[in-house]
Amino acid sequence: MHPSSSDKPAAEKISFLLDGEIIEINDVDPTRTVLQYLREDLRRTGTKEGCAEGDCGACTVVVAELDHDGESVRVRAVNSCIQFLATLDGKELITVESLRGKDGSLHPVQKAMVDCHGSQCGFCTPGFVMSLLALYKNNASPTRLDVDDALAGNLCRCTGYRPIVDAALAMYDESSQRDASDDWLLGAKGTNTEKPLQEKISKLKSIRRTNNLAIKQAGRRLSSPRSVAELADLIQAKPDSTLLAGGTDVGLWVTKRHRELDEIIYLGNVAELRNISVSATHIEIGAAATLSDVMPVLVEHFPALQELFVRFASPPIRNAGTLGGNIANASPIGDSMPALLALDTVLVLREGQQQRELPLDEYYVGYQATALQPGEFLEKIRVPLPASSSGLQTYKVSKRFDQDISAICAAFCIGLDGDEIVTARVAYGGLAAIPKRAKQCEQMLLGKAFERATIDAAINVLDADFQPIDDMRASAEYRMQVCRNLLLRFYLESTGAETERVYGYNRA
Amino acid sequence: MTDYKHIGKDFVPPDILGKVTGKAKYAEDFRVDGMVFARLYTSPIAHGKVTHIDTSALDTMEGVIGVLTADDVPAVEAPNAAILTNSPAYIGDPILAVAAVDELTAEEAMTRIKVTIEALPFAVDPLDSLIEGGPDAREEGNIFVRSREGSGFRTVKWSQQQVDEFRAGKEPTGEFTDEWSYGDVEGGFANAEVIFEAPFVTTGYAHMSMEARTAMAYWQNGTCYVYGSAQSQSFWMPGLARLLGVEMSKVVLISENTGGGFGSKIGAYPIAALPGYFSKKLGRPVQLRITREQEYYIGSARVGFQGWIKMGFARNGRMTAADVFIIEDIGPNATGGDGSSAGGAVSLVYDPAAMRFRGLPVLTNTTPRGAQRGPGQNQIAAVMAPLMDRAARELHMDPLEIRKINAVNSDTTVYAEQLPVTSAYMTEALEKGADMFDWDTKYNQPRRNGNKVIGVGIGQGYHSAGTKGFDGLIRITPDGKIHLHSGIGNLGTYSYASTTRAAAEVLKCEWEDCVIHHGNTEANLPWSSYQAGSVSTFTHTRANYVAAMDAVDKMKAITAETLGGVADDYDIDGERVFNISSPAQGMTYAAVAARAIQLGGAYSGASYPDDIHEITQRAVQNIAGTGLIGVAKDKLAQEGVIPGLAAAFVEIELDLETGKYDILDYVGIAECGTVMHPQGLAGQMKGGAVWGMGMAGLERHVYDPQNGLPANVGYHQCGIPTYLDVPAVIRTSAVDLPDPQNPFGARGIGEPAMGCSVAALTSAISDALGGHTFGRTPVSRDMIVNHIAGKPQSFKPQQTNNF
Ligand SMILES: Cc1cc2nc3c(=O)[nH]c(=O)nc-3n(C[C@H](O)[C@H](O)[C@H](O)COP(=O)(O)OP(=O)(O)OC[C@H]3O[C@@H](n4cnc5c(N)ncnc54)[C@H](O)[C@@H]3O)c2cc1C
Ligand code: FES
Ligand code: FES
Repeated sequence: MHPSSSDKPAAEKISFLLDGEIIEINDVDPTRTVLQYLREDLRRTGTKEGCAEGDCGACTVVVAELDHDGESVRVRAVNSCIQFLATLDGKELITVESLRGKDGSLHPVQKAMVDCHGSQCGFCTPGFVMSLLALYKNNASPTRLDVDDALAGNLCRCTGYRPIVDAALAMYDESSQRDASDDWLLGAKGTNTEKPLQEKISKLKSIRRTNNLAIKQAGRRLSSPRSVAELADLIQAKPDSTLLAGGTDVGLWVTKRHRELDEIIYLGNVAELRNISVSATHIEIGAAATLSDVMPVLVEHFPALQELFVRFASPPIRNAGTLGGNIANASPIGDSMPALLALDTVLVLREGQQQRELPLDEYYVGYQATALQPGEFLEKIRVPLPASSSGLQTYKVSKRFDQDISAICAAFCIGLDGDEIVTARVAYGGLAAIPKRAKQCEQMLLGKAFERATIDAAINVLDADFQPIDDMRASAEYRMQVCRNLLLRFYLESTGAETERVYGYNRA
Repeated sequence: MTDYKHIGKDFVPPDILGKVTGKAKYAEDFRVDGMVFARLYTSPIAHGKVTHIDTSALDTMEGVIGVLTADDVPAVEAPNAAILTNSPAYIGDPILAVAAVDELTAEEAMTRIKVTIEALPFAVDPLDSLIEGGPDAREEGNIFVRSREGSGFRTVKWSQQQVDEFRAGKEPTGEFTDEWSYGDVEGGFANAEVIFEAPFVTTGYAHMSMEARTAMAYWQNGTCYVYGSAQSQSFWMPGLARLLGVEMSKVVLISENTGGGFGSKIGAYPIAALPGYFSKKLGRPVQLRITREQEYYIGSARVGFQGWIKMGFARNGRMTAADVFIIEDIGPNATGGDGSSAGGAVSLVYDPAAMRFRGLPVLTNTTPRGAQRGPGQNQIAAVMAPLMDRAARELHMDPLEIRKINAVNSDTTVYAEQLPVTSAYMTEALEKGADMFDWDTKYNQPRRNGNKVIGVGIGQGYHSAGTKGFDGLIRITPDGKIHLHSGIGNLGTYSYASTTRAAAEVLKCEWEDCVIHHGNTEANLPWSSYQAGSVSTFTHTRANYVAAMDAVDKMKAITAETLGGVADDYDIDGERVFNISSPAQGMTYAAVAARAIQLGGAYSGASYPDDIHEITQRAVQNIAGTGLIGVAKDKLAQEGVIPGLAAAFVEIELDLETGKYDILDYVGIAECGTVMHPQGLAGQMKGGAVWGMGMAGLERHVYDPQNGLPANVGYHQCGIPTYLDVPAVIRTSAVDLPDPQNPFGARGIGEPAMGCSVAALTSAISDALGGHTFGRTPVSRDMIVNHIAGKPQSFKPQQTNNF
């Protein structure tokens, strides 16, 4: 066996911080959510439930944890309605109640919300306050775009959002009656004095776990290994376990579909799985790296992914959700897959000690079915470099700008030698039962000149690659039409002919 | 302009502090000793009869406390909504409830219950029911007419040909049940220069308040305490007492905060009474919190329209006649009335010289309908805006000009009865908006840029915005505090608080010395209007005004009685009553209050006017003897329709290849008389604007036609606008001219704030598409791309509620 944390007996209780106190809970129910814990067990009812599916942000809380280096604190907003309590082990939970001073004074974020009239019915307000707190702690002087992004996971039916944006911009100038030098929460990013920060770090260190966690409650178990090797063993021993990464898909199985998950293996504490490294030949992403961590690295090499990622769910979902989870979940409308297909991504799968590489293109075998064998799991994701694929472009078409499932997601990667198309990878999500490359279309492109006639011919065979369905997100007709339009738009954009149009439609 | 101390000034509503700190309590946040949790079992089929319920598996299930079925609650007559039913008429109709030690157990218990339901035919699209041989949504018929002359079921069928003609956009020739008109409609068309007809569809959708409705109840000494998610406070009482089957004096409603309502919680709804019955049965407090999905089922939805309109315009742009026909989708419980309200809005906003309205309310097995922000007015606002543009185009006019020519003003007479309006300044609103938006420049700019095209649009919104005859109640205590009792609900507009400032204004007192009492029957609240229909501001500035005037009269009389002279010798200021000719002589409010207690009678509330409502009477009885009481029923003069109006201007950039559009600029102008609370008004205008954006492009409910299953039962499916779907800047302002029938000149605004937005957007989309009118909301990207690509739409003309 592996000489590691498993030498020590696995812990049966979780520990985390709340309002400066260390909370320890024995054998917590593995699928109890943070929201249920707050509202039902603690009766801290400030945090609200608007949907119980990660959709509305009313339940937003902030989680602080030691960063990878162990010497700084990261602060993230997450949706407590789909976050399992056991995943808080070793972290700090901050809720809307945590912000008010013992003297009753308001936190600058709360004060700004009052001054800007950012609350009407108030049901969404605690969630907005917590998203704003995360912004406050992570960004010393946000741009308007940063504010936009920070609030994208919170719905409000009353205010029309504007007063809340005003609050986001005003909160940095609010004074507090409390002494900021003593209170870590009060300091905006960059303004915190060392003392409270160091205290915070040492407190988090004091509950940092080195051994595994294994809890059972009401016939359900959750194990949280610390190393890939242990993880591999656990999965091999219990191949029917549910792997839990960020839980932004799995959480819904519990809260919405009321599925009983008897055996859960949590990946979030396997440090190796959260690594992201860049070499000359590829970017290697641990399967449990969060989308928030992965995105900046990918965008640095493939700027075309910027918009796609901003529009991928919402910040709290991206803070918890992982790239590995998105791939493994195998939804036909998962947003990362068309781009990863176009980039010729390779997956590293592992079973016990055995690793194998599989092109993403061969991973999906049918509707929500993958090539993953029992006992096997996704360990790493390799995106080839150099970015010869400067021709990468992606498009997400959905009803809403963010927080929405794609009707169609498209990614194109065309490599040219002079005028000749030497690589052609065309991938779409939302058009078939799996995210899929348009192989016939690609064949029409390869070896031809990159010109309008080639594109027109390629567009014409898209019908052979895809036979989409009608559903309430979009009609089949619309999907095919936009599928064709996007390829043509890609051509027009990459040849600088943006002003040309798909339709000979006249409007002066 | 009058120089007010409080009116027109911003203030911090006292409850906002609880909202930002998480301390504010909503119905679901209350816990009492012994409380158990209930969950609902709702119908999985669209229409049927429950033949058997087997809950035997629960007998031995740990944690289960009890079951409540339709047999435990009063039966109601179809088509009205019951608390629980054995005749479900839509998917989600509540059939039974289970109480358990916690929600998860109650939820788990649901999976072990066996309910046998015999299926009946159902209809999701009104036209499917209307066609001969089509299914009826209720066994009693497919139409339900509510009218003063007598309500009842009817069965109305149209021939295949009549339905086909209607689908083809022709004037409907089938039977209808409702009709009104004014003026010479035929003559109006005969005199018109331009005439056109247009079919339209507006799809319904859920209210989607952020809080899924909750109620908790227990009984104490024969009184039922209900912690509810209520839009109104005092106005809930008669209905809640009726649902619970007790006297109004035996009900206490606690509703300090409500997570939005938008029309879906105006009066007590049946499910709010469920915990009362369950609690009686179990002898324990019961809380029922429904799920988000269930909120989509039973939280009610906007009425959908399938209609046809014909309009005629004179050469100068005046509308000479309008003829409107609306099939109204009234869901399974026959709730609506939106059709006729839509007709009324046409008559008011565009003031046609003659007009006819015909309507047909059709039952469907879909989510029950209810008033939703501008019920009727806002659907028709969306329909009318692009048609006004079309008229302008055919007459070679600027779309702004044709709206101004037809704009409602203080002399306009409206509705079938051609009633006067209290005042109206739509022209001013349009001019102010055009100026802020820079309409001339934007309208004349080049529109095409590559695959993008610019569209500009103007929208007008209207809702009647006030009522009268409610009570006001204030109290001044010997500690000098001024207690303002507000029986309005608190769903987030803060009008429960802003209207009390009318009393503070009259009393010329400091806001810091005022205490607002609200949110709990036991806080001794007066009879107040429903907190809906944009009425609170007009109605309750009046009620607070009359109560405060009563207090001033009493204070002057007491001072005269104490210091000599007559009441008219005295005036008030600085929280003192003073002698006008020798101001040093006087009494503080605190001293007057103490004196009022000594003097008793009407001064201290020992007696009170007999025309106040029994709810107010009880409140006065409870506080009698604690200070000086000001109480009165609003009998101020009021005549005619009280309009709330708004105008909006919007600029969009539409992507021709995907059908998506971005909103580049938005200007909304309120015309609601005097501005009472600037921040509150801006909040309504911005919140309403975003509602309009949702209605124009995103929100609709959809049912699977095979099974009647709703497909939109989550926020992500229905897609209300998020923060990033709305423009970076929403600019708002107000005309701010006083209405003569309100002591401070104020009228309401909540609903027109949305109507102007949805109208401006449908107008802008049509403009971007060179004047094409879809005659349908929401306008999806699908529809836009199919139109541009010359492809057929994926739905039949006039099809609704399914895909
Ligand atoms: C409100 C909301 C909005 C969303 N918006 C989007 C969106 O815009 N675009 C989009 O694509 N998705 C979206 N999602 C879906 C989801 O967030 C993503 O799929 C996310 O990437 C899943 O990652 P996770 O870590 O949370 O996965 P989890 O929920 O933890 O797991 C998902 C699945 O993957 C399996 N799994 C996880 N890790 C591994 C592994 N290493 N090996 C094998 N199997 C594994 C799990 O067992 C499970 O079956 C949204 C979800 C929500 C709730
Ligand atoms: S409750 Fe809606 S996101 Fe959690
Ligand atoms: S204030 Fe009501 S939902 Fe935001």
